[in-house]
Amino acid sequence: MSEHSDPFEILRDAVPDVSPNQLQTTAARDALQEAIATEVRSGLAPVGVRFMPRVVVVSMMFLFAVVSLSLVLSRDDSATATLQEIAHAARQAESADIPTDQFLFRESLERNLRIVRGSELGLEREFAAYSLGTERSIWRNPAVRFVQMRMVNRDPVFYDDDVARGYFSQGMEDVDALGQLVTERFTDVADPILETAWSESPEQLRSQIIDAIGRGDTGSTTSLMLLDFAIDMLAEPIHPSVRGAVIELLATLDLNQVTRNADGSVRLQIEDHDGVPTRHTIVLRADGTLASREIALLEADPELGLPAGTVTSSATYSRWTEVADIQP
Amino acid sequence: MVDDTSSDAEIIAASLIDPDCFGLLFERHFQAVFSYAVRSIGVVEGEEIASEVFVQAFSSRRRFDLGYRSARPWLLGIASNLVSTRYRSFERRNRAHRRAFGRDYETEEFETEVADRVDASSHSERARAALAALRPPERTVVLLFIFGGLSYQEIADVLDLREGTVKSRLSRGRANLRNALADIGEQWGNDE
Repeated sequence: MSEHSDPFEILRDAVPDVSPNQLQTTAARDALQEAIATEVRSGLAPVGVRFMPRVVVVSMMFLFAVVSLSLVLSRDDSATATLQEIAHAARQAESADIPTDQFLFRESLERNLRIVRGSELGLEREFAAYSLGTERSIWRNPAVRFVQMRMVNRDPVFYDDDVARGYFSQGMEDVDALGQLVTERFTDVADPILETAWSESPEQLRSQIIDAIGRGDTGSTTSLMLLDFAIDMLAEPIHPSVRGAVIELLATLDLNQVTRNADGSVRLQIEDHDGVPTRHTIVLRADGTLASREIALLEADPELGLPAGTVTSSATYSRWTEVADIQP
Repeated sequence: MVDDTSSDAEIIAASLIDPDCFGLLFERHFQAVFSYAVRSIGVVEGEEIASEVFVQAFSSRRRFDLGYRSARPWLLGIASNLVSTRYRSFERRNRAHRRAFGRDYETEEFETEVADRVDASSHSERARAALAALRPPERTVVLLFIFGGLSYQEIADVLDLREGTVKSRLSRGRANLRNALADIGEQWGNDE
């Protein structure tokens, strides 16, 4: 067997070892020296708590206790109770075990931001963005790993005139197949969400998700990462007990807002300030099924010409229902 | 005091008293961290990450387990988190794109499409496209193994995983990469 039949060897050869040049080394060294100097200047070098006067340590412990207590008391108990109630309702649903000759069916309306190279639209800029609506119908039978999707793209939305002109002058409406019904069928779709034996315990589920995300429980796994994965799970026809556990897990995250709507649905919001600041909004129906999800920019993105508040991704979903026929 | 013969653990311990000592760690490991970061994610992002690793490591050095003599796995672990964050940010931006095409399933067609979408004129770009198409848990382990040069046990320690999990993720990653990279291997085979 040739050494080039091993993909790891191919990768090592295709992306060869590289050394930093003088400029790169100096810049990185300077950044570290600045961090060191800042710590020295602030007098915060961790010489060691062991040398602190006992009264300081006791004061800090007291302060920590007060702050911790405040945080616990300030948690919105009604939000937790609301999610617990929805989780309970989700667990009462019947499991969607369907015969091999039937299907689960769902429709969705989506709008997603598309980022393309400026040159694709005949523009000088590096990137350009527009959003595109998609109507999607999906039939699936997880037991036999079957998926069929019918999609039609519609209604591009542009954020400046140059992009709009470039879009049509470069024939992007054909690339995006605007108004054309596209049907795709997959016969061996491995869906990791449906094919994993998820725990029905929120604590164990949390560990499983962290493991699936692949970060290890290093303390840097954010609520947003967990939320993203949890919502991906809720979008799927998962077992009712697992759905209940996912919703109970949501109740433990640092959500910014939980609102109960008049129809019994609940709206969750979380803001992400790591990287591009965004607000994520999720609506769950009273039975724990996913009604909609949305991501919006909290700040403008000048590089892409997007104003603050731009929705970069949104989707509304029907419930999964059991059907006997598939629409070709 | 510490010098060139001191272990990384001794240097980190000393830096708790004298922060300047941490500079020794930079001189010792910057090359390896830089190489890992640039090979994992490209020059522009990798260069930033390599620098950021040492700033983060310095500010969190109290959390370093002094039972380990070498800090390299720890530094590469920090770099790995930063690389994963950049990948995730990239993926989040493109997720909308993928969803619109209904490709949010793990199909061979999807992986091929991802690879084709990249301006795949060079082998390194093709290789990075193949890496980008891996599932995040597999990609993290694969990158630490092939570009970080860490052992199974070191990867397990850094990511807080069992060694068996590391092996199975490497195995899955290798299998998924095999098809995506087969044509490059064949081309090289023909060139030889």
